[in-house]
Amino acid sequence: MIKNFQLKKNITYIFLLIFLLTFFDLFKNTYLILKMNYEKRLVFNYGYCEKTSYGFVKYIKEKYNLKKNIHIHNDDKSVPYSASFYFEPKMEFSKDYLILLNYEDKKSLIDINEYNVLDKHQNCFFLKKK
Amino acid sequence: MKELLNIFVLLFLLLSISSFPISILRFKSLFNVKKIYLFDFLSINFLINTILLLFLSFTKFNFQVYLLALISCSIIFNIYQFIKYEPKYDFLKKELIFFLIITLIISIKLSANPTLSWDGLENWYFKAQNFFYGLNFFNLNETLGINYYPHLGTYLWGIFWKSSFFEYEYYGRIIYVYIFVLSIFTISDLIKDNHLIKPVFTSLIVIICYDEFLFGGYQDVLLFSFLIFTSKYLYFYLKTSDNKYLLLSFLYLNLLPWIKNEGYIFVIIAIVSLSCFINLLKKREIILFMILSILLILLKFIIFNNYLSINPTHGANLKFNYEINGFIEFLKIFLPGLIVAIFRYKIWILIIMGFVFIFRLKQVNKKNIFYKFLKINFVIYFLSLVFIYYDFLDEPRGLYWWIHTTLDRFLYSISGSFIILLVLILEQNKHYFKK
Repeated sequence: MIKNFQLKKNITYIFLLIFLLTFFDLFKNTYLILKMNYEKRLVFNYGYCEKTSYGFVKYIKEKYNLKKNIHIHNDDKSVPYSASFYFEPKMEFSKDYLILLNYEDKKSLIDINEYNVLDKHQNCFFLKKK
Repeated sequence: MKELLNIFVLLFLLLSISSFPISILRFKSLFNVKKIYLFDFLSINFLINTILLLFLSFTKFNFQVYLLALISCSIIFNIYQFIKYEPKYDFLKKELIFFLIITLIISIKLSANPTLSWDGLENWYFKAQNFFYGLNFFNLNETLGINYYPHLGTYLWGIFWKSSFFEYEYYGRIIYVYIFVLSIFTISDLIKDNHLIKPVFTSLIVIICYDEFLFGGYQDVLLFSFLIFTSKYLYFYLKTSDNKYLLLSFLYLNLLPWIKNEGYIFVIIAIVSLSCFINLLKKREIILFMILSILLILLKFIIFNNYLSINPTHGANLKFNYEINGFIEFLKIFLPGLIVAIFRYKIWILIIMGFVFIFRLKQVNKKNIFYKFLKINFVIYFLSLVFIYYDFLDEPRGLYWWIHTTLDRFLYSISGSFIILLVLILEQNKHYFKK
């Protein structure tokens, strides 16, 4: 009797929870977190060498470990700047290096011939001034 | 798995900082806190701690020491209270469990896609990162992003980012989820039904007001939530004339300019709306409310002017085009943009239906001062939108750009002021649902 009464009182909450779990994709999201680590999820969503190109910027940051901030230029103007993937406060900007993302040969404001290519992945470049 | 566990730990942390310092008052007769509802208790504690954290953001004091002290006090006081006074403690309430589960579900969604949205990535992130590195307000000039944007929301983001085990950026934004859900539960507390209408309404508001894009680092979610808190305590004040509620609404309202520059507009609109009722309310308190709010705005201007920079109009020049043709051109762009923005956030459809409902009830209108307050608020908000966007007519990026990129978010924040209308209508008419 008491159990029935409790169930009646809580049935709305139970149904709502089931609905909310489904609406917010809890199971799919939990699976994603368990299956892919944080970095992989960021690369999956921001792109490696597409959109904001988180993967390429992070790769350059970890490989070269320069103690300066580097300017980033993205030829894809439909996405926000990627500076936040590299920038650290209290570090000055390097005048020699440049990360060029989603390079478009004819449209780009950057003349790639003025630089030496230190690293490259598809249309993403890590450049040093000649 | 460890990431998920960290979310649990963060929720515990958030709950702890929302359980203190009002717990102390239960031991004194200063404040009749036994009558405080659970979510008011959490949100008022949170308010007090947010104000203290705003002060800390100007100092070099280690916020982790503050959080640790807060958690320790919270645990000690709550355990003591649990043992001594209330065996049926709030933690056992199903509403709290429901609240925590919803917060957890949305936090897990945020964790699965932790990317930042446009402004989050280009502006707000850098402020949060500044605090994450242990720097303070005075270092904001040295970071990237727009320096005249306020910092309170990003300070909260930065400290919870730093306080997580893995120091992943998105952990800091879980506090936005927590405040968002807490504000909706706080306003739903006005419904005196626990088993059907209240949980259904709460879930509905969470679903229609949740926007994944805004949780990508935008501050509009905080404005939305703080406006919900403000409206609830203003409602209590207009209903009871108890100064305690005026003080609470004053504090919530005056934190808005420290979250986003649009906060000024909300403060000014609240002042103008309240001034319409000055004869019906306690004059001295309302005048004090207005003067202190204006002084706080000026204080913020002075601080930002001295250490960062100020740009309250965000690029507009306050030079208006007084020609009628110019205004008609403006309306041709503005009104369709407004309709699109309203349909972007479905909550506005409910709010407009709510206003249609109370405009029809003439008897209720005469009696209920709060409905009058909301109606005046609504009209002033509309006129303000026209005024603000008309000023952007000659802005280099163009009116269309401003409407396209900002109006929907502005409307989203404003909707926080009017969700209370839906709650009140539902509370008055809930007998229809029980038949």
